[in-house]
Amino acid sequence: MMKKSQDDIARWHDKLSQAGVDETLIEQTRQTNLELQEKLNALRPSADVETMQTLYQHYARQQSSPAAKKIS
Amino acid sequence: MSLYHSISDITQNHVRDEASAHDYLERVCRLLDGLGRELEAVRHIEAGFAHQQIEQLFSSDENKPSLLHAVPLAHKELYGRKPEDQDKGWPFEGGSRACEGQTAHQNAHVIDLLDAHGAIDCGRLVSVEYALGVTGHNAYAGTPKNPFHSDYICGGSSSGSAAMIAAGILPASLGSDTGGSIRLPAAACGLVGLKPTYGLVSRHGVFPLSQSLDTVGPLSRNVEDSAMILSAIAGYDPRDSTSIALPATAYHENLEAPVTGVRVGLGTGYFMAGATAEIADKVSNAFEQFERFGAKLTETDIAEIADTNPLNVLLISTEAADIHLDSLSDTHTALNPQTLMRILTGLYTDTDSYRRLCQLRASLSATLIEKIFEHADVLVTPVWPFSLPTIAQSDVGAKPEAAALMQQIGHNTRPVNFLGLPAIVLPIGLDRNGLPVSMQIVGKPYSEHLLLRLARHFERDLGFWENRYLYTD
Repeated sequence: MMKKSQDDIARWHDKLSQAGVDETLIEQTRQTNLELQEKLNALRPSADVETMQTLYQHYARQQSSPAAKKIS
Repeated sequence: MSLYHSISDITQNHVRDEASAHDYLERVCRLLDGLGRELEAVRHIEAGFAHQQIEQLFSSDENKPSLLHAVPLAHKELYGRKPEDQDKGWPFEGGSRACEGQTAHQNAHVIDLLDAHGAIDCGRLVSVEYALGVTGHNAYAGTPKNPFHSDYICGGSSSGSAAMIAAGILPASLGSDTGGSIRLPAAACGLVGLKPTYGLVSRHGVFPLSQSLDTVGPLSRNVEDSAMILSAIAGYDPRDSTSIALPATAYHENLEAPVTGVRVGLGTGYFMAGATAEIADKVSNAFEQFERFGAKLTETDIAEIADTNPLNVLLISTEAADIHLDSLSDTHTALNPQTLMRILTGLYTDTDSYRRLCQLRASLSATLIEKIFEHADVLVTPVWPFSLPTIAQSDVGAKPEAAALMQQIGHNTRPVNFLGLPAIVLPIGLDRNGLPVSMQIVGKPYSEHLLLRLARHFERDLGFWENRYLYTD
């Protein structure tokens, strides 16, 4: 993902306002984002897994499908 | 008359030589151009290219039948194709007026794989704009009509694919699924829809919505056809950063293998919370059928599943904003207001929050997957929480008051994307309006073959598509 600080977000916000994006819509979406981030902030990681990639590589190593024929 | 042929039927009975393959393709293209456009499901047809593919297939490989030998297919308009002998690729607009005239500059990896297995590519089918919507409405590309009743939606975002399979023109088609976009239209049209496990199928060359959540998979009328497509497209691709290396599997083989002793859990609590009584009853009854196949029934209620739904919404919007933000100043007037709203929501997530979100996703997934499958091998849930709405009832542009209800549509599909799990949907009957009702079976990571076997047992028993022809002369 592109690097995006709070300053960058403010600049994007201004740019879109100047381009004519409806202010009510911008405010509504900002509010929706805040509500979703509140849910994010209320949760804490419960397992020591850093990325989906490492998690699914782990599952792939465990994977076996006895009924399915493996293509050699 | 529409065709309603399976892949095996086509390869064994309808395309036995080059002449019959051309004839069959001609019928498919004629139907796509007629019924397909009437149902607002078709974006473009490439009959000339498809006939060339047949010529090449029979000149180079006549004595070596392949899995999808000369089977005409068409896919959601997110799949790029750029023929080597042409300056420009096929239209690649992502279902959006904002990308009008854009063409593909490469083949999607899965399109190359389907070519290699002998499939014939006839064109592209309607998608919801940027694959960002679940009802199927698209004022620019078309709002596909449900072949079961043309007043009703097909669901989205792989709406055109679902319509063309249910109308009997195609046996299967590729969709994409970020929050339910294969499973919801498949369920709305009485089809099998398979969302594969995280990393199993490459997304390289596919019009992106959400880098970490997008998945590629098939829709079809029967289980075997989805399994055949999955056999063709699954596999490691270094050009997709989420791709995972696994042994290649023939998913279409041994589908009749017993499911004795498999622990089938009914998802209660969160998964039944939004369902109407009619849907809940039908899914519960379907779940009980698995006992007759020797499965062990249980119930599963994991309250923390509810945490994943809003986080999936946040992740989709954040990654969609990342893709489209640069062009938004210029393109916002061309976008559907619903699309614009969903993308803008992601603007306000900064990099630190995004990193926390990704880390939390991995952590939550590890914990929840362990809990979900502690006492069950698979989980059965409703797909749509309520009976399908009509196109008019669910048009949020014309009826803003419908927005809240429409947001509930992905209630049972979004958590599956967030956790990265595989899931299959299949029809279990009809509702009071004569429209399909379906169930979702969610499995452990990389358990696609088990999901297909369970679905095959149910399909064989119910025979939903036996003697069902929605379009005849």
